[in-house]
Amino acid sequence: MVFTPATITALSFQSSILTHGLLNFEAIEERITEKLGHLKMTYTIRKFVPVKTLTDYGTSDINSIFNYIKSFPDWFDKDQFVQMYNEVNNKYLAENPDLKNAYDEFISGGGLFSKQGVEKSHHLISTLQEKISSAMNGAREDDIRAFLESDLPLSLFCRYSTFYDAYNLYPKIVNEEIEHLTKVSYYARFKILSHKVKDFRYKLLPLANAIETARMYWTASKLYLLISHSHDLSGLRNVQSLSMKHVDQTEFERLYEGLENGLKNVHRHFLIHKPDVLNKSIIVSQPTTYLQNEIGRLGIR
Amino acid sequence: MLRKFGCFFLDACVVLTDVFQNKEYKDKVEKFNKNISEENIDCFTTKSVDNECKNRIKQIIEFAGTIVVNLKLKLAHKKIIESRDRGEHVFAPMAETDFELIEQIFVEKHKELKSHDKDVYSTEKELLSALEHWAVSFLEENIRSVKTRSFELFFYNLTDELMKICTDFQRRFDINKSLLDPKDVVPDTADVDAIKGIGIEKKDAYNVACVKKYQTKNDIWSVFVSLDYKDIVLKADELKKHQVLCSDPIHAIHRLKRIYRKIGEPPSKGLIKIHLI
Repeated sequence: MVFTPATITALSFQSSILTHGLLNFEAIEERITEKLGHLKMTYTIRKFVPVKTLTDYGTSDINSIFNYIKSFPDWFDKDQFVQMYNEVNNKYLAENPDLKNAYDEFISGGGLFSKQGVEKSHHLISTLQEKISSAMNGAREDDIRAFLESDLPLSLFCRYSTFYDAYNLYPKIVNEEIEHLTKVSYYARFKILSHKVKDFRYKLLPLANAIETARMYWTASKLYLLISHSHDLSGLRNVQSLSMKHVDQTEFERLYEGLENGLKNVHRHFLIHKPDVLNKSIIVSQPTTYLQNEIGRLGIR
Repeated sequence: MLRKFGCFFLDACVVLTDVFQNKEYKDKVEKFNKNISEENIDCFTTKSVDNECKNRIKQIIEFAGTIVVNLKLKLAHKKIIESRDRGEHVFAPMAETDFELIEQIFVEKHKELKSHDKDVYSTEKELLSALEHWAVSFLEENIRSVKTRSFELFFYNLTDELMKICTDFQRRFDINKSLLDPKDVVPDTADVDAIKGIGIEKKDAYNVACVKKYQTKNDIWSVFVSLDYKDIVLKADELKKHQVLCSDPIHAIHRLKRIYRKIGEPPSKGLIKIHLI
């Protein structure tokens, strides 16, 4: 199989936590009055409510991805695919209980609106970082093998790789922003903390949207390639090699350009948030360093 | 003050020097980048230059990718026959005997390239030689190491390393600040023709005419920065007669300062004094 479906859904799940779980939520302050014998007690509880559950996000996520692909063959039943997709998603959840637990603890701890929740968020992000890194490594291995078994352009797979690098940096940036909240959460009252959370959200949402768009194009282009090489839904899991002759050139280029522009936008946001992370040097063997220098010499001609 | 007075437009070779980390011109471009950041001057590219860079990067990546896949297919074919002869179902590991086929594959490719036009052949030939050198050295290193002699692992590692450097080119392209907002300028056809008239190639003439158009439209001095001596830098005096200023990256900032010092007015008023610079 050229692309492992688990990698695609893993990313969707992680993305739901990062983008929606952390950024798309509501904070509610509720006054509760209780009678204890003759005493009447009034107190305030703060609820942290994610707008949707993670499973809801999985479904809406794949439905959004469908919008990125222009046309589907007649055999492609979207509802049935969503069902298949959710099954893989649930399997991923079952196989990664630590991630689900970290998320549940974060939610029950009051999310970003309480000292406890903010503390839990660090554990959640570090668990996510680990999972993302492993999912990305798996996806990259899939891509190298898929490239070697195909006549598809190498630049597509390099763009996928650029996406993995960018996606790996995303939780690091989120974590650094949460660091600022941690300090405030020790002394600030709910209202002040809510205000700071609003700032945090305001600062990160443009980056989150850019990352999400790139992820949508990444997923859509992989799904499109699988669909182009299959005749039925079960065939999606059995694609062994990819060939341009099965692909509609215009659609392929449109998705490639979408991913390319999406990544350019992500990098633009990185330049604002953390330009130093982009100046990384790559480690390759001596022969490849030679090739790199030669391309450097010839590339500008 | 200088910031509002002028800006720079980069030629594709300047952007690509940064993308590909060209050693010969890297220092020049780094110095230029330092100058513009100190003086806080806007630095742009035109859409045409942006596309030229994008296409060049893609072309190089595709060329290298095709060579690797081709090499893998031909070696796999040879290994299938070898394995069948030995009655085995797995590919024989990479070995000393594979160098002969690699040599043949590259000789064939060189012959195929020779039929292309002369200019394309010269660069592609050198690129092919670089890929040949890389593949052979990579195999030599792998043969020395017992761990990575398997056929699949050899090609996996080869592609992995190629992808690392190509991904780096794409990332450098994405974060090049001059490309963040490429200017979609349509030049006057008369300008393109006039510039072509002084012996400048059509593609370069188009880029230069775009800069002229931007300068007029926005009333801001726009200097075209290039490393191309043959077509641009050595023709700077002739281009000045067409009201476009060009410069090598080393001198670009001083050229802009000179315009400020000697003319001190925006192009709408100062173009008539362009001969002073």
